[in-house]
Formats: sequence, structure tokens, C-alpha cells
Amino acid sequence: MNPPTTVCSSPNPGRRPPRIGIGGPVGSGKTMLCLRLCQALRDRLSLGVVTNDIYCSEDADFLRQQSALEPGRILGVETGGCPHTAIRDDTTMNEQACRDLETRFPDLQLLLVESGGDNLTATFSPELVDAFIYVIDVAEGDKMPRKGGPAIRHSDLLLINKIDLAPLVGADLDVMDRDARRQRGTRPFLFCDLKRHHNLPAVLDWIEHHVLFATAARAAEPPRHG
Amino acid sequence: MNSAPATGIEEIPAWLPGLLQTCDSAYPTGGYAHSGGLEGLIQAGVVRDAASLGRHLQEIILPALRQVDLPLAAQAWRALARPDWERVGELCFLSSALRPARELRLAAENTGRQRVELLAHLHPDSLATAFHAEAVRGRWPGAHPIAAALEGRLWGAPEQAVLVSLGYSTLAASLAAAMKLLRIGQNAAQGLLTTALRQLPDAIATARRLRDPEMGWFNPWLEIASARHESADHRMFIS
Repeated sequence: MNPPTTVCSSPNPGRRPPRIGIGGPVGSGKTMLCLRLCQALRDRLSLGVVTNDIYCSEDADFLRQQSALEPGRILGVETGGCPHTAIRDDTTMNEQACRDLETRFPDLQLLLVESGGDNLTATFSPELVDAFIYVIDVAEGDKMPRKGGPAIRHSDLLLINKIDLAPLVGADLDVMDRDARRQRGTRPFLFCDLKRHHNLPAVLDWIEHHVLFATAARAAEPPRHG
Repeated sequence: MNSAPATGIEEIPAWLPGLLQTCDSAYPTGGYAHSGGLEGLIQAGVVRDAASLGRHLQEIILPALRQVDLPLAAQAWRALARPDWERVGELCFLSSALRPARELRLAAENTGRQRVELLAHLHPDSLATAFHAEAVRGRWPGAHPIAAALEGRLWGAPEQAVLVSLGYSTLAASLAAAMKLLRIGQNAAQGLLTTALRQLPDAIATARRLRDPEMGWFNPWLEIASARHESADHRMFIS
């Protein structure tokens, strides 16, 4: 993993729980990441999840069926537009869903906002989330990191998922590693197999240090004036 | 409080840039997530092509504008002049009461709330922040036509301009949703919009004369389709 950078640039640190956006193409493993994070963190943190689907509530239903969290802590948003609209251009629906959860669960300590599947241009508005994880998988081809784009380049953490499939689909992980470094510079990225928990501890460690700790540290800073 | 900034160009009304901003699809009101009942009508087979979409604009969108949203906005624009907060609150509640289907009611409330919050953010220490405080205190439901009137007041726009802006936004949003839901091209959509806009002045003229008891409009197709849409397995829009 490359040297990490501290993220979390919330305009209102300390005034609401930190939010992590999770984006990526359809089927790359965003919902699996949500599930794994809920399973790993729910016993020590108060969590909420907002999922986005264009046509249905498939992802929210999956998380409820898997008992990721108690059902009321999982909200599905049907966005009616390209997912990047709902997470970047006009985040009203997601903001209202987040506030709804924050109102109903005042003890919330972390909120995950999972985007609907989208292309490489999708990024989260910094007014909606404090940090942004982008998930791609090897089955989309080992050229994915090389294609770049705002999400590959500028997400706070890039996950390259389903590495167990690499030999089956002819994806060269060395190529993906080289291209991800070239595109992201010092921004971190991780190879994962989230279904089998491979490298999940490293993701949790990143969240712990670069989202939760950063938020707490910023909230403890004296208020800025002027 | 209601004064608009000078444009420096005498021929251009000072309020025009502000209204253009609020009509822009980039203005973040969450409106793109709603079809105003259109998706439900398409699922019910009532709207299925350009011709039936044109009838939808004529027989549902324009009458609903004339009888509900435009008169509410006109009344709110007048009440905000003093401002008469009791009357403004009454109109917010009336806006919700005039929408029988839950989905349509929530759409108007959520977009209205977002517009007021955004205005209060963009125009601190203004009529918008006072409105927001009154709405919180009185637990008013959000109401997007009332929010449109507030936008107009903030920019110093005349009543007719506010109503044109609201009418245009509503028609354009319906067609934007239609293009995602039906096989209809951009030129055909603009043709339908052009036709509907020609009828907007008549709707506005009627709306400005309506008193409270005359407001309201009901179309069983729309209300039933919206109620069914709420529990549909698959849908692209929230309403």
C-alpha cells in the first residue's frame, strides 16, 4: 500500500458523524465492502448505511437479508438519474437520507454511503461525504487503473477487488499495480478479495486512522474564526 | 431584504439572473429524482409515446399547475411582501393537503424544504433565513411552490415572472423524466415543451385569480398510478 494521506475534509467536522462514500462500477464489490465493514465494525461503532440504486432497492435488501445491521439503519435511495448525479451534482436525496438516519440514530459514529454502479468519472461531493473509497475489480480487465479518470486518480482509497479471479480472466496484477501507482501517486490502493476477507484488515486500518481518527482530531480543534 | 442586486445593465431586469439560476437543472433541489407521477402512468400504460405524453402535459401537468402550484406560488408571493408568516405557513400546509397521493406530497415537501435550505445557505441574513426559522418554529411542511415564491421575492422578481419560472421548470422537468422513461428523442421533447409553453400564460392568468376554495385538482389516473408506483418492484424515480 502506498503512503497514506489524511483525508476527511468535512465542512462540519464534529457536527455530524463521519461519512464514507463507496463508489465503483456495477458488480465490483461495493455492497460486499459495505457488508464486510458492517460485520467488522458494528459491535464497536454505531453504524448506518445509505445505498443507491437507480431502479430498485436491491443493495439495501441484500444488506438487510444478510443482517448487516438492524434494518432501520439501512436506507435505500432510488435516485432516478445517473448515480453520479446523486452523489456529486445534486446530492439532495442522499443528504436527506443521511440526515434521516442521523436524526433517528443520534449516536451514529459512522455512515456509509454506497453509490449506484457508475463509470470512472463518478466522484462524491465533498459536501456529502468526508472520504471516498472507489472499488474496481480485476474481471473488468487489468487496463482499468490505466484508464484513469477522477475516481481512479482522486479517490481517497482505491480497492482492486476479486483478485482471486485474476488467473481466470487473464488479469495481470503486476500491471494493475504499476498503473495504479502511476495514476494515483501517493494516494493509497489495496488489492482485495472482500468476499474472502483478504486484505479487509488493511481497509479497516485505513478507515480507523484516516477517517475516524482524522474526524475526531479535527473536531477537537478550536473553532476557526473569520 | 427583498432588494435585488444591480446588474449594471439597465435593460436587463436585476432579478432575471437569479431566476435563471433557480431554473437551471444544475440547481440542486433533488427534483431530478421525481417524475411527478409520470413513471406510474407509464407503468399503467396511460402514457406510452410522444402523442400520449403530449396529452399528459395538456391534461395533467398544465391543469395541476393552473389549479395547485401556480396559485399557491402567487398567493405566497403576495404574503411574503409584508411578510405575513401566518398566511405563508397556511399555504405550506395547503400545498401538502392538495396532494392526495403520498409520493407526490412527499416530492413537493422534500424539494420545497431543500430549496428553502439552499436559499438560506446562499442568502444568509435574508428573507430566506427568516422563512427557514419560521418554518422550523411552525413545523411547516416543505412546499416547492412556496419556495419558488420565496426565490422570486429574494431576487425582487415580479409575480408573473415567478409563475413563468415555476411553470417552465415543472414542464421541463416532466420532459426530462420522460426522455429517460420513454423512447422519445430530444427534438420531439422540445417540440412538446414548445407547445405546452404557449399555453402557460393562460394557466398563469387563471391561477392568479383563484381564491383558496377554488384551488385543487384531482385526476384519478394520476393518483392511483402514483399510489401503485410507491410499491412497485422496480422504478427509476422516487415519485
